Amino acid sequence: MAQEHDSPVDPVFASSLREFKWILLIWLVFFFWVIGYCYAFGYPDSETPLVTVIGMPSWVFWGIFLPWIAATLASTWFALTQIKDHPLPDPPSIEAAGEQPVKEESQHE
Amino acid sequence: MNEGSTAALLTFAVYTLSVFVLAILSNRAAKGKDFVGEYFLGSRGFGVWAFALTFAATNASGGSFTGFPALIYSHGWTLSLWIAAYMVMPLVSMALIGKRINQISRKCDALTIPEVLRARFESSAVGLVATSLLIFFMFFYLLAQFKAGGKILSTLFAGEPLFQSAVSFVSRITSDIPWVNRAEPDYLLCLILFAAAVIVYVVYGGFRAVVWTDVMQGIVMFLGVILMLGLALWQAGGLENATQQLAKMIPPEHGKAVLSTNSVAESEQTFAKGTWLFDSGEVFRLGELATIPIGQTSTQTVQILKIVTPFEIENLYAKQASGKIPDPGLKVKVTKRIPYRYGAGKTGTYVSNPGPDSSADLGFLAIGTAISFFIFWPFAATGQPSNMVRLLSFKDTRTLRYSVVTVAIYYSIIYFALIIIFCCARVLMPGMEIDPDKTMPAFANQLTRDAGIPWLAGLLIAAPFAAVMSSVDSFLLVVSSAVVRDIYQQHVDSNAPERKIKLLSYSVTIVVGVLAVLFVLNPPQYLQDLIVFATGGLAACFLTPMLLSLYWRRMTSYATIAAMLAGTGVHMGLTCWGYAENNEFRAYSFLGLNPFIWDLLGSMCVALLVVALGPKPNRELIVKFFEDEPAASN
Repeated sequence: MAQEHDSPVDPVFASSLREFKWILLIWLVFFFWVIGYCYAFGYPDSETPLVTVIGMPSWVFWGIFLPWIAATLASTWFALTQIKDHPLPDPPSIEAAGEQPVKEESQHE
Repeated sequence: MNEGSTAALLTFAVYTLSVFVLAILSNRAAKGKDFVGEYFLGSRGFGVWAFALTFAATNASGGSFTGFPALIYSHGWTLSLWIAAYMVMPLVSMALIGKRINQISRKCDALTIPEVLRARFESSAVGLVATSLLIFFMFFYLLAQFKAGGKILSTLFAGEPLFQSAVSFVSRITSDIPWVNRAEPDYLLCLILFAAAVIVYVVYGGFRAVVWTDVMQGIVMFLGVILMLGLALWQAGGLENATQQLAKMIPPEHGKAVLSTNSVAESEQTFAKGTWLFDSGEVFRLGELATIPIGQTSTQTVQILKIVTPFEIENLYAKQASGKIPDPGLKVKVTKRIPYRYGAGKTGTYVSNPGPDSSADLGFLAIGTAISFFIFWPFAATGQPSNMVRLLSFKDTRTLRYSVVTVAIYYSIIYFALIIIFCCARVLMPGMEIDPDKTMPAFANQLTRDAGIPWLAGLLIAAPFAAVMSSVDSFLLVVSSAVVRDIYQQHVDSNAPERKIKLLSYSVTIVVGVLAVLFVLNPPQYLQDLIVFATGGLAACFLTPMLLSLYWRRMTSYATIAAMLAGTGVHMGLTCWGYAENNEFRAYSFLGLNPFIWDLLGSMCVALLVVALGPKPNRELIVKFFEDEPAASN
């Protein structure tokens, strides 16, 4: 085990693991928001009068529509600012063949 | 109908032509590149739009445009909670493992998911188990999607005279061929057309053609949904009006009835499924073909649907009075009433949870089921090999990041729009409970006809067709790559020349496609259940082993095999339990939770146990995959 800690950790592995934990946390936040709100307000008695917000039942607006927008914004923020860029290795077959299609297309973009 | 179906035929012709053009371009783009890497993975060179849309389109299979609309129609707004986990699905299914699996597959030149697992542990046993389970589950998937393709095409072409002539011709020439002659001729013709189109472009263009056509299909789906949304909201008088109407609706009643006339039939009288029946202020819809034989005054007992909502009855009588709906003038004697198990006689069930249900006492979406689906959607999608293999194809991490954003926005629009569209459909188009899977094409026809633009139906119906096609092509390639790459190249002839591999790849793709067609000529009734079985099985089999292989140094080949077998075993066990308990081919929901959760727990526990008790992992493999190797990162 000591040997494992002495060696430098693969940077792609390290950043992927960190992102993995954050993604699970984001999923958990929206899980509690959606399930919690909808459980509390989305299962009304049949006598409860319908309340709408911008045309949809209010439990859909506060419990699904709004978190959906928030989740899209959170995904966008996370993908654009928190996921780290890394150079990915060329597969051995491409290196051996001396081809570099990946790099060519990268430069193109 | 004729104008609409001619337009549909033209749409299909233009669409198919475009697919072939893309296949030809892909074939040209592949020139000079390593065949296997190009055919099965497009040389790992895809940018944001190609990668994002192929991922989105592959995920949005035929179910999104046939089964999902049917569910919204039948149960109302509760479907927004059922599908809510799609809000985080792009982030989870792409970013949870995307960067890491792509890196590992590049390090060991892996082109398939079994190959990634085999290379991670340098164990051919891991590869063989993964390949066998993948082929086993994936084939069910393929069958279901082929069937959906044939069915959608036959709906698209129905009523087109040229198509009917072709159907008669097919019926004549196949009447003496065993097995084939048991298939309905219109479905048979469409299945062959569909399969031929897919097989040809996949064989000719490979993975690159599949991705490029996915991009086109993704755009068609998006345009189709947006157009439908506009038309549906316009015709329903806005979302507020649609929801208020929906709140007043009462679930209809299924039942059985005998239909009769006042006079004896001089010739056999038939009444098609879907015929509206008006009798003594009540409205019914025929659930199956009904016949009054010669010399009789009544039919046998037939299935009917009784409309219960007062404003729907009023509207239907108004349409009958204006001649928009023909009235066959039959008397309806109800012999059996089958009210909804949840929601019968109540208003408000379509706008609240758990939603009305004809067969479940707890309603459609009890809170336990809602929790299960919030776990199931994103994590089951992460565990699908057809999604994982796409994660091997992006060219750099920037592509992955921007694709997460693109797919998140794409899904937000598409899925929320679908919910609104089919809530409007529930208000505008009564009585589809007799055949809910036809809700999408039927509503597309009604919307365009009522808007005076029937030619647009072709484009709207092309959306589900595109969804099915984009899934079939991906599954076809996953199965054939498993055979060529994971079985032939690994266990038969690892030094086979490229020419031989090329021929074998084409042959396997064709053989798998033809086999799938032969199997679905007469699809078993429980095929829909097989899709659920295959989706859950693939995720149960691959998610835990893949996550632990990518992120846990101590994971071993023994634990990987054990986890795959345990996930599969729990899945099969719950399916057998479900069959014994309910006499249905459906996994048992122990404690009311989705079986996938138990599969995952079983797989995880066994993996941890085997790691704890089994041999230690190979130190060289830990260094290779978890530690910084200057040579590899340069």
